[in-house]
Amino acid sequence: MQESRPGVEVLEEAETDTRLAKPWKVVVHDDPINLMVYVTHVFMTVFGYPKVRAEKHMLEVHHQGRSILWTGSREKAEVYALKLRASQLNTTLEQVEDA
Amino acid sequence: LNRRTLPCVERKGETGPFLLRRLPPVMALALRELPALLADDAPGIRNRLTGNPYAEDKDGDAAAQWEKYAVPELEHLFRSSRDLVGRDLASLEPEPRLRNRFRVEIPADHLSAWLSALAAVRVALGEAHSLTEAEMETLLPPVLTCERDRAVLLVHLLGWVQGLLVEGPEPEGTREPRKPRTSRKPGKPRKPRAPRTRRPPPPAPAGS
Repeated sequence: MQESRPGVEVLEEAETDTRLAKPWKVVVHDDPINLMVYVTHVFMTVFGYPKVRAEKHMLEVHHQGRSILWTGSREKAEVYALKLRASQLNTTLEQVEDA
Repeated sequence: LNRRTLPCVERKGETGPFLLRRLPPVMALALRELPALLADDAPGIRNRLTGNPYAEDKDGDAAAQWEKYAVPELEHLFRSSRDLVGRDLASLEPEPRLRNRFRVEIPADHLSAWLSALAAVRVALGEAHSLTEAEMETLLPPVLTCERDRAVLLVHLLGWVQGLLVEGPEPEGTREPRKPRTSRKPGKPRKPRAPRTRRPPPPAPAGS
């Protein structure tokens, strides 16, 4: 048992969590209304993707129902989600699973 | 369809305003309805704005944070888009030299507001009537008898406007050149004329 002395504060050793925060995925889902040209335009504007890459994601959304547009920190993912939602694209944020 | 009477987008210079031109009356009417359709309480509008984007939110903490920080920002963006579009629509007027066609001017820095406002109305109508992809690709009946058909028509009309704005003005070289007044109407190619030949001289009278 630790002896307590007057005027001395005993600090317990804190455990440090050294694991990196898991990244987040920005996912856009298909909807029957938004036009293909508009979705491509939004991807180019929000992410700064060139037309070819933006079209690839748009076609992924159209044919597979969803596309992962970006992966990274939660804060940045939230900013992207906000911009995509403001453009009326159906967007979700998903945390990357452990490998 | 005559290309010279189809709706189009023109732009005054590189940075000037966009001019949505040759809009048929039905399209002009659809645009006039935009501010009303973008009302805060329009069905479907709030769902898309305030829905929780977190696919897995076990403790509800992320949703609460989103509601607190992102939703007011989204609502602000939505309202300012609606107000800008409403103000621009005041310039909707008949085309000066084209009967039954209308036009509206959109300042360059209002373009994104227009695109998101058009998307908001289209998505809201789609959600309010649960429109499916198959329905969107089906031809409408010649007479619209229900609200659902009217919603599909509006979604298509506003989509046409949105598509025009996304694609922007046609590059100069691709515009149909104005034909001179004297040119022939397109149709059958002109038959090549036979070379003029001199009529052979009449035969000399017999017995001379």
